Amino acid sequence: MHNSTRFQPRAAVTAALGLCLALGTGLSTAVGQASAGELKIGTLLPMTGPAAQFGPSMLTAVELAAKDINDAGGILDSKITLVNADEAGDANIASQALDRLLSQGARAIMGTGSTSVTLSLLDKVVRARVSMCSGANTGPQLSAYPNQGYFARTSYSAVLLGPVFAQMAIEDGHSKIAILGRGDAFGKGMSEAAAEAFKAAGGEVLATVIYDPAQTSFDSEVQRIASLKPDGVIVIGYDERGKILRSMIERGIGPRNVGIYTTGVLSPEFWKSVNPNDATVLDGVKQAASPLTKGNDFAQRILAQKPGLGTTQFAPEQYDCLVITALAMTASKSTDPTVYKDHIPLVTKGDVECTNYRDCVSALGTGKTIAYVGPTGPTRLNASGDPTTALLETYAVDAKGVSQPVHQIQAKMP
Amino acid sequence: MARTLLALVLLAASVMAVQAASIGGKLRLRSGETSKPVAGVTLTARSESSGQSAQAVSGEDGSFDIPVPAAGRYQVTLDSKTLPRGVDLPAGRSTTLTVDVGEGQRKLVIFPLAQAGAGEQQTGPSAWVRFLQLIVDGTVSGLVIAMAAVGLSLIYGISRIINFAHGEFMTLGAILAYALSSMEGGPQLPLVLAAAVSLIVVGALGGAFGIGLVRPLETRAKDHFAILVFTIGLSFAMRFVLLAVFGPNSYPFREYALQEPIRFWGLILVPRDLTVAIISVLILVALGVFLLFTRTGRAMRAVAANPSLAEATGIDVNRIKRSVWILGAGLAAAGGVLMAVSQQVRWDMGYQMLMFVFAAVILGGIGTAFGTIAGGVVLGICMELSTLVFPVEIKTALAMLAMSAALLVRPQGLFNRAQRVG
Repeated sequence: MHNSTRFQPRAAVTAALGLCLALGTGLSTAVGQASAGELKIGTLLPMTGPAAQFGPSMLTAVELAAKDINDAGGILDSKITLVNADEAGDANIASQALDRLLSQGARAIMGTGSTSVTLSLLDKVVRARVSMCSGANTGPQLSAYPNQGYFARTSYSAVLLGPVFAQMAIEDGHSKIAILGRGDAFGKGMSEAAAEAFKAAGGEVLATVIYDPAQTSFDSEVQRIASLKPDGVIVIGYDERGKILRSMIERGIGPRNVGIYTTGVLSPEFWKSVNPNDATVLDGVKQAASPLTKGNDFAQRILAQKPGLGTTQFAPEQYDCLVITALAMTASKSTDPTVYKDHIPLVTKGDVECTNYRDCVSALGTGKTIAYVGPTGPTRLNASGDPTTALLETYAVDAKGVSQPVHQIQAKMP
Repeated sequence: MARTLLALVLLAASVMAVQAASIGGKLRLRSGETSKPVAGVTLTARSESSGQSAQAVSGEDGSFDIPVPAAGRYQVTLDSKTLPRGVDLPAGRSTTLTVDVGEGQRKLVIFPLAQAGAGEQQTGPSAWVRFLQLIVDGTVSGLVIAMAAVGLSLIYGISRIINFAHGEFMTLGAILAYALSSMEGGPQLPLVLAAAVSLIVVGALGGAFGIGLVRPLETRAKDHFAILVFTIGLSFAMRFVLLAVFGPNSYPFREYALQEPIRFWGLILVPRDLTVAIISVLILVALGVFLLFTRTGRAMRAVAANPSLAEATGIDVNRIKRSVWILGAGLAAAGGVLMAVSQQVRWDMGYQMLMFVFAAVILGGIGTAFGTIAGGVVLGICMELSTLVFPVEIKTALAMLAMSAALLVRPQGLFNRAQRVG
């Protein structure tokens, strides 16, 4: 046959390996166990995939927290070094990335960006006895998961946040609503919680439609909801909401016709994905999220850390995740996850309230127990690592497409 | 048990405000699109544990606020005798509501008031209108699928290669058109012009891909499996390069962003979908004419039917293959642009569509251009029509199930002749 160029398997394998090694060493310069005076913290955040819009904001928050902690003297005289990985919104990729972080000696993992991915990793996290903390997971399923204290979150479970959307709709005087929820743990959990709360208050939920986020058109889903003529619509999702809102406006259930409530703070550019010619297109759309201005002017600090950040969503929560983990290490005088994990809830509900790492450490130094209240607000984590209290801010999009705070709501779990 | 527990947790977790516990709300009378406040209505809250009760009367703006002594479960009753004449709760709705009030919470409750005797307001369009609406929507999305599918089918027909990178050709077409027409800082060309440029570029790229990469592989690889895996690899590579370049967000074309829909016979059709349908039909008809009546088109069909016989009759098979790659990639780009007009531009839009494109090709009968077009439209309509009866969540599942069922009956595809053996 074609014998002019003889195929040489050994040469080819060597070449392929060489290429991979060259790439690998280029990407990860520091592989192996931490040296003395250095503490490795891994990040497992959505840098690509469906939640990629939040990745940079969460990573910047972790970087800022590491800087603050190191500036305050580090943890037990060790400085934090970050090792970063991408969870890509995909269970398989995330699992490999977690392996890599563990092999590099990470003593705590910051992440992930989505409840579904975290759920897929928890078994491995518990088995590896490493502690994980997410500032973005809202799925109520995580509360029930036997995580043995190796998982905590500073983001509010849908059980806390869902009823807020119902309350916003009731405050606006709506008695019949419909809910459009993304087909994953986050969307389903939040939709269910919002629907339960709205029904419990005497309202009518006309339909809860769960959509497949991977599909290209949401017109049938929107059409189904529009035909029920709701007074208000709760939309739970990520960036596919641009398409959904456009379809809703065209089918007569836009913010000018009905009340629209959605998750998170929409970025000031979000209207462009609905109609790039009209900044007023989302005027009146309401959202609920943690207030970004609470405490030490956090929003400005995070933007100073990384100018040009598209959104600061989940930044306060992920920042607090690392600070809480660091405080638990300090309080337990150990960087061993099996020891410090039990102190993670404790440092959020002790006697002395403190608002930054430096103050908290000196309070611990005097032998007191502390309650850390960071930019997220008080969290008071329970035994399963869930915030039991939430300070939330409602926002409404103004005529320029920018979300403005409306008022604050304090939500509590028993 | 788990459900009740969850419900309890949900109720208990309900929202609180920083004031003394109370039960509040607003009474409004709804008629059509407007609503006006209802004043002077008495509401009573009675604690289930202590039996204590408190009262409030709705004010000028319809709002009421019943202060309650402590957290716990309360029965809120609206005194229907105090309602204005002709105003009532909807039929079947009890005047009593049981709610849990937390410590310091202002619990909001809803009593939807309506004109007594006023029938339930019209609940959406009739079944017949919904049916027609779904046919219209299905046809539009089906035509876009058909456009991309026919390119894939042509390439398969002529080279027996299933090109997994076809979806990325679609995305690339849409992104190029977006960059030329709508991107900030771009040349801001009219979309028609941008699309034409994009079609030519992607077509050329497809030609280069087919001739430069696939053909050398065809002559050297032992079987088509290697080529298949090669196209899968390329598909991934292209997709993530597009992600890196374009970013994770989706954007609409400037000219087709948000439109006032056309309404006729109760149907709703957004003008851009009409444009998409008309342009798809025009392109597909032109393609049909090309395949049936031009020399090159006939040669393409001849090579697809029997390559060695075609070569024996003097057709330059390699030239035809190159043309088919260019044509196929161009059609993919056209499908991508039209899909982006109807939806939005996104880095993985083609990949998300690829499964449906495959389904359309297989359903219509692989290798047959006209069957594929019909397959695409049938698939689109099937998906939309299923939502008439079944929950909208499982429309993709049903469409794929229908495709599998159709293949069980006609393995050669709906529009292909049965395979001759030998």
